[in-house]
Amino acid sequence: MTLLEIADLHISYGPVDAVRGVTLDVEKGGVVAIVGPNGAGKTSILSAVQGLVRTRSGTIRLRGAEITDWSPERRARAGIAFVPESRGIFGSLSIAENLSLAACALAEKATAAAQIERSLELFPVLADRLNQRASVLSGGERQQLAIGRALVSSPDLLVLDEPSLGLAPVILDGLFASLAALRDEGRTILVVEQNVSRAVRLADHVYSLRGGLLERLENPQDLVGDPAFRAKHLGME
Amino acid sequence: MAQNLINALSLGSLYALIALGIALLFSIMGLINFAHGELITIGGYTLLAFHGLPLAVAVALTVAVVVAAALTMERLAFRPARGASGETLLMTSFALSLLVQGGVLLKEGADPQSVNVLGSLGASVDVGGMTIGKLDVAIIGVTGVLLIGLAWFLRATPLGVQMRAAAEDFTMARALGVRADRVVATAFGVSGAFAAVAAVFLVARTGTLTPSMGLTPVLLGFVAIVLGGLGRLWAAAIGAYVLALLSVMLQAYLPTGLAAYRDALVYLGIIVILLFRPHGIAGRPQGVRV
Repeated sequence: MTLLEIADLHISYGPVDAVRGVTLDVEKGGVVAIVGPNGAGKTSILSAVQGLVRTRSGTIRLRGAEITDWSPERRARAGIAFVPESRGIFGSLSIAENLSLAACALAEKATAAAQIERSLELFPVLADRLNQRASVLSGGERQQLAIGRALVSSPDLLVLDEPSLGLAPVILDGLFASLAALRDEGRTILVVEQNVSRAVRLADHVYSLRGGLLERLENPQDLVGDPAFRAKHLGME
Repeated sequence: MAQNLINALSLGSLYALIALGIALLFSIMGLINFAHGELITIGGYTLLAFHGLPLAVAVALTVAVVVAAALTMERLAFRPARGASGETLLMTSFALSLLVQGGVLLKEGADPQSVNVLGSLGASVDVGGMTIGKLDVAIIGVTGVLLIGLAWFLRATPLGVQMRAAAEDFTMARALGVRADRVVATAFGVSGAFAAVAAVFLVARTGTLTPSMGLTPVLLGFVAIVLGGLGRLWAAAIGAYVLALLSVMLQAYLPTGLAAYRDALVYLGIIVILLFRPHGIAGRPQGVRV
């Protein structure tokens, strides 16, 4: 079953075409990764899925229903949880308050406590610091809080923008182990990631986005160490 | 000295009610709401309309009318402009302000009207050699209760936590499922309630109503917000009390010959404070809202 369908999506910022006719399906329970150089339009696609940028044309469907014109909060309540590159942590709120915020997207409010408990089991570092301000968290802890918070809403689709950005390798191991655990329990994930080797290991399907155009990569695991691939798809020499 | 402190607390409470009402909307929407002054004006004339009813009933009706006016402003003028630039929102609030002022002018006329809503609050009590007006006690007490109530609401209720999140990052809050309409309408409702209470106390202090009566209080509210510092809601209240303290102390201790320069000296004091604390007394640097 196709959970998310993006069809012929165009996004422009003034005269600049950031996304040019992207079409992409995400199957329920699948993990789709988008890789590409900076400025390729990756974040724009994810922002469009969450309703944070205005699309020029094209459609976005969730479980078959067109959501292109829906507000961000309606999309969240329909089952999309977005973790932005900036993490979107509310520094003036406590960790517990950050987690509880996502519960407002839950259809069954009574399950909020159980959902928060599940997130804390996945990221136990948060459990001992619930009453601390989120502003005191390190980069890795913020990322854990952001993903843990997203899971509180029990989303059908988890949308992650550059989850590895700015994190030390040792923290990345734990983070991607958590994401793999989510994949293995059947979560649907759409992730933008510049760390190609980790994206390839996590995802069922990998796409490359360059200049606003999307291209599906066949056998991406064979391409990870290929200098020609890195130069072409990631802008790295 | 103690007498002056009571006066400063009373005046600061009035300023704090106004400043918090404005700061609440600014923190969530980036809206500088000049029409907040007109909510005070509507409150004043509503109180006049209900003059003769028991004070508690008249005040309750005034609060209800002003909250309804604030919600109507949000629904008809600001919701269609939500997401627009700060300049557009500012112009919208200017237009709304002029529209309401014009309406009040047409209905009530330009002449000042007098109303005595004080009743028994007009009396004073002697405490340890100080003469304290019951109205000052009421203003300080009621404002204290409202500030504690607001703090409780923002800390202890899901909607309050959502409002604090929206004040920090409205877009992210919405992405988590926080309903923008509900949060903004609640902010306008609270802002309206604070404006109504401020109007009651303002009219009780001055006993006079004019169609432009909201202008000076709203300007003082803005000054209090800048003085306290943008980015933190409670900074607005701190700014309000410091502004009142400056004003009352200068009023009390300036030589008679310099009394005419009191307001100029108040603003000079504010400039000096802002030179040392550019983000305000308790504010923090503001990023650009995008």
